[in-house]
Amino acid sequence: MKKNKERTIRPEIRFVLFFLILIGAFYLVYYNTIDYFGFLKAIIANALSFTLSLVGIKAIVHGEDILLGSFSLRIIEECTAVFASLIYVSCVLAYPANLKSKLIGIGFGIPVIQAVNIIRLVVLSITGLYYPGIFEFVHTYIWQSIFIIFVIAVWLVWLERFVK
Amino acid sequence: MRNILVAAVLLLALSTQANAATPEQIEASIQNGTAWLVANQNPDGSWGTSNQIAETGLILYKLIDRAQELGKDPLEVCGSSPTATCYVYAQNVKDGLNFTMTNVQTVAITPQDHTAGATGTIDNPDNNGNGKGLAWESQAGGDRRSYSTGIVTAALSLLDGTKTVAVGPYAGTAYSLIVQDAVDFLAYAQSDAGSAQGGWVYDGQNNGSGADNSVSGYAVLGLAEAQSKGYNVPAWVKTELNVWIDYIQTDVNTPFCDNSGGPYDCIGGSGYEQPGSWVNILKTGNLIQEMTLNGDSNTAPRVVNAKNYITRHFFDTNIEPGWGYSLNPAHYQAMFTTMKGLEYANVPLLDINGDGTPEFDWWLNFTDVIVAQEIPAGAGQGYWSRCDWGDDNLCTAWALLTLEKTAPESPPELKPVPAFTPIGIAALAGLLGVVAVVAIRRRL
Repeated sequence: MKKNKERTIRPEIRFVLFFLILIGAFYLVYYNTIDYFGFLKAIIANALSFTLSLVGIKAIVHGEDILLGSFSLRIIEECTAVFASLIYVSCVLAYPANLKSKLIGIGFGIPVIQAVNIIRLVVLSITGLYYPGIFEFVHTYIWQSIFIIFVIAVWLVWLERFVK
Repeated sequence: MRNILVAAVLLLALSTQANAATPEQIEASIQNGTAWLVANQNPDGSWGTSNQIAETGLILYKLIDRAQELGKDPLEVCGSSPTATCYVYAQNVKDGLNFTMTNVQTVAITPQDHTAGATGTIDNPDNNGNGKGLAWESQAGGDRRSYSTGIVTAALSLLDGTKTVAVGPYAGTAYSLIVQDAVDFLAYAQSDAGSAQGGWVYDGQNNGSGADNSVSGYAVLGLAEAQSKGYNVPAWVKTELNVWIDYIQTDVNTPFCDNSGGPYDCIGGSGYEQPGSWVNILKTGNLIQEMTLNGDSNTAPRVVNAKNYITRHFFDTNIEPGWGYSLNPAHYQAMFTTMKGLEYANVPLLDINGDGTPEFDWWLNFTDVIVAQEIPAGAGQGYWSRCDWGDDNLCTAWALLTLEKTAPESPPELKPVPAFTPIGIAALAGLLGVVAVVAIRRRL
């Protein structure tokens, strides 16, 4: 009887349920252990400073603050793209695929998402420095849209290339 | 009763603002005071008879800032054919700098142990890796290096860093290196242990303890001015300073403090060596500057508490804890520290009437009092005198610095740049979910 009931749960519904449960679980775990992830902000700040130096922009890093002269950034938890990564990982884990494919998806996706985040921060730094008038628009609308499209694209690449 | 009190304060505020000095009067006072200061410079380039380095540093801070306000080069002397950028007091500036750089001290600086402190690490104050810091003693045999080095650092930070020292052991050295080494000394001199962790005491010590928020205010003035001009103030100095700020600010749960004159309200204000002790406006101005250097925005709760303290005591008819708005002389140093704190934190208005909307221009009130208290001293000269904690040179320098709002440039707002808004997070999860569901259905 139980076996028959399990068979009636369609895969897409099972995926949605798993997906939502994983997002909720990751979110709760992250917020209850957020103090342990403080180092991520300093890593992002230093990575941004280094990348900006490659394009000739001098940045002074004070912990999580990046001073660029007339424009300065503060890296907060939400700047680390951790939520995008959690949603991506939840989607990979919830999708019906074998364990190896899922591990590849996580190992491949998180670094790519973080790299895109650094590019995002570099572009926003340049925008804030040289085009402050459009900073809010670029930050809130342009980059958010780009990031959403990009995370979906990364997931689709994983699906096409690594899921049997 | 409370409404009557609020109305009375508002009326007082409005009436004093109505008497505010005109821009022309303020400019005349600045010109008169500056002329008086240079007329009273000693032959060796210093000012005063005691604490000469600190006095000279503060007056140099004023004279260099004044040159830059006028669009002049503070070091370009006007010859027989004055240029557009020459500064009429450039020789006074040069003489003052020569006295200052002749009396510089070289200090071997070493890493500071904060393993039991806020950073939890051993931190190196030697930013430029040359093994030394530069300091200035207030006078021969004195013990006030934190005070005087903070003040001198603020003044030297204003100079073009490519210009070089003319005399003394560092003749030929660029001022940019001098300033960074002075910042390094201040980082080294910061107290490292106990309740004073993160503050500064009169004479900075290696891995030292002890601090007060008068000395700390001048040390932070130097650091803030240096940082605003692009010099590197280590992040760990701010991490340690944050501990001192939290300690020395009187807690919101403290009902009353006793300041020898009986109990009084001190919530949000700064103590001297301990919270709740000798709390006043002077040190609360320092406190706001420290918070701003630490990265607090002017709407951060503890900054708001400090602003509220100043607001509540703004019209106290005393110089302790007030700034003496109704007294002659007023407390010029308290006005200066309040100005540099509020200006650095970008707080042009205070909410005196308590309606939640700042409406009171504190600086106009200060200028009104300062201009009215100028003492004429012959043609084109004026000075300020008999103030608390200072001789005529210091009274005049504090008054002039306040009149010209000489303070480090407000740090740019630190913009957080989250990858997603909550709606964006929901959109990402929703779209990714839909794409995945479509993929599953296509696969079936």
